Amino acid sequence: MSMTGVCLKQVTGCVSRRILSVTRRHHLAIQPNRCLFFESDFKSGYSSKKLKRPTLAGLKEEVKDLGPELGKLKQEWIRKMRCDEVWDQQHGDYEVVWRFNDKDTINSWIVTRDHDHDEGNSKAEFTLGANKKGIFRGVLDTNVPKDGIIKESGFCNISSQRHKKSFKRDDPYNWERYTHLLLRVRGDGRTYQVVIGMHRYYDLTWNDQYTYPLFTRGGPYWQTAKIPFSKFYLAAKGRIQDKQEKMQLDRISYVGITLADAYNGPFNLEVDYIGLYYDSNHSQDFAYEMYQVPSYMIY
Amino acid sequence: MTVFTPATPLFISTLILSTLLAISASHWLLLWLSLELNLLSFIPIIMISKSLQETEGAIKYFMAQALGSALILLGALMIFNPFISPQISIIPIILGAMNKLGLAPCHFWFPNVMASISWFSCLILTTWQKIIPLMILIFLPLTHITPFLMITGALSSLIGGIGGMNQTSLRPLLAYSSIGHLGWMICTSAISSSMAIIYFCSYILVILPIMLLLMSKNIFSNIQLFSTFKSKHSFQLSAATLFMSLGGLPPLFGFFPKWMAIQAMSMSHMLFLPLTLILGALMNLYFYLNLSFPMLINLLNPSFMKKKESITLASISSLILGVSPICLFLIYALTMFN
Repeated sequence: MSMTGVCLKQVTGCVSRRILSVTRRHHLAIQPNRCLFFESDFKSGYSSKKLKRPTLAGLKEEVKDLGPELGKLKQEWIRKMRCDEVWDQQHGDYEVVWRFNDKDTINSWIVTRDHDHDEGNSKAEFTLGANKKGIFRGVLDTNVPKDGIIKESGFCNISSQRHKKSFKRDDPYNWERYTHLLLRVRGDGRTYQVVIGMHRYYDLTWNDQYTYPLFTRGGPYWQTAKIPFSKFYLAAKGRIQDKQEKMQLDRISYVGITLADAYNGPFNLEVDYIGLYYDSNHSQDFAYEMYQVPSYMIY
Repeated sequence: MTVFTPATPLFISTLILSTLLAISASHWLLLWLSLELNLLSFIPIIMISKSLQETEGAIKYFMAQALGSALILLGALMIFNPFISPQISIIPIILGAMNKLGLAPCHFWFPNVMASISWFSCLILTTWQKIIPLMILIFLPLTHITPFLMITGALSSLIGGIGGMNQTSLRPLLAYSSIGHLGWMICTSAISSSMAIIYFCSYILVILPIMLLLMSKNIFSNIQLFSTFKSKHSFQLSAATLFMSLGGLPPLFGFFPKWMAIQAMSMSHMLFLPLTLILGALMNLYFYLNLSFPMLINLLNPSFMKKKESITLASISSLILGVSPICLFLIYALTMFN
């Protein structure tokens, strides 16, 4: 849902990039606080270019999809009425959500680089390695394109697709049963960022992501990173938010791994699987800013 | 987590006053005013802890309730129009009241909002906030719309049962249960308004201890329910009893309002309606038993069996919680039927 908004000058006096970029291709909104400006586009101006197809052809395609989508809907209702969700959890229970041992899983993940939208020169790819593991590799380039708009560059990312149910409706993951995110990776010593995107309703919160650094060792040995969900901190468009809140584990939209550590050079990250883990001894709710603010303070 | 601020008593007092004003209102505009006051008093209570989730819930609640209030105002203004038949002008009022209650088919906002707000707000939403729209539906002369209300009641019971299936989060589960129970109240109101009020009061008596128990332990999902209560055996029996009572399992208290409703409908020669209501209630009972069985099975744990004193105390307290309001009900039933 979009709120009506007006472009205003930022409190600090700096003119927002959004005003400058109205006539440009992209909306580069450098916003320290996600509550300052409304979002007109779900993708924040980074939508992929789609060819306009004739209405009749589009309609024919939608009718073709009707059968499979109805089949999906039927499966959803069968699953719902079976009522066979796991209701109890034991210490050490885990679930592998993505195992990167086949091309289908690899191809279902989306690779993004700053070069895609002419904002940099980084290269990245996500492929299946010889040992049947996913390899996220490329070259990070922090050289800024000389267009007078971009100030910083050097960004590569792999993300899962948003989980959808029948008729392309969003179906966020529900990971309330688990306490940790598990990643089995073999890195190159660089610091990556694990990003968990949230499925939120209002436009101001469309870009909400929870992130945590993934420190890799660089050696020949694999490492299993077990990151508690309570340690993830809230960011929006890459900026850590002042007002931190606990992650809603029943509204997870996608998971991604980002490299933007501001070092030029090649990178290589092997990923075996990404999963979930339940630790009954983990009692932390949220690691940041749990102090009570006086009620007269508005923030 | 609910944080009580100095403004909380103000909003709670206006919330109470608005309901009392609505009940004693003699003019449609006064009723609408009290509905608006009720809405505006409840929104800050929802947003009291200023978390994003609760803010989202508050905005969704506002949108749904504003639509309901607008429909009621439209109906109220239409009543004053001499060119419009009162039977037509009452339709927007009914639709507005249905929207405000979360009665099917206007129920879509209800589980969504319940999933976002704190337990304290859930408690007010499922009990106090239902008083005004329920009174509108019960006390209006609706003889020409009774079949429509019965259909919506039956639909609510079915939707309450189906919607609660496969729910792992407790707040939406109780929201669907509330929709189901509302269906029973609406169908009962077609026979007798006092019976509908008894059902409503019985529902409050059953839902109140459940929500207070879950609120005290900060439990939002079934996983938390089982893991928290594993060490607190004394709560397991109480929680299991209360959930079974809410599901309408005899001989617990929650069964008696349903029995009263079915008997009244059977005596009015209605067959299909109670059948539909029972179907919805059975689905409700299924997921309540799903919640209760693991807790009851856990009570058979040998380490728990050793603690004889706590068993006695827990069992007595649970029985009191589940069974004692029957005495009130029996007294009332005796006075009514004599």
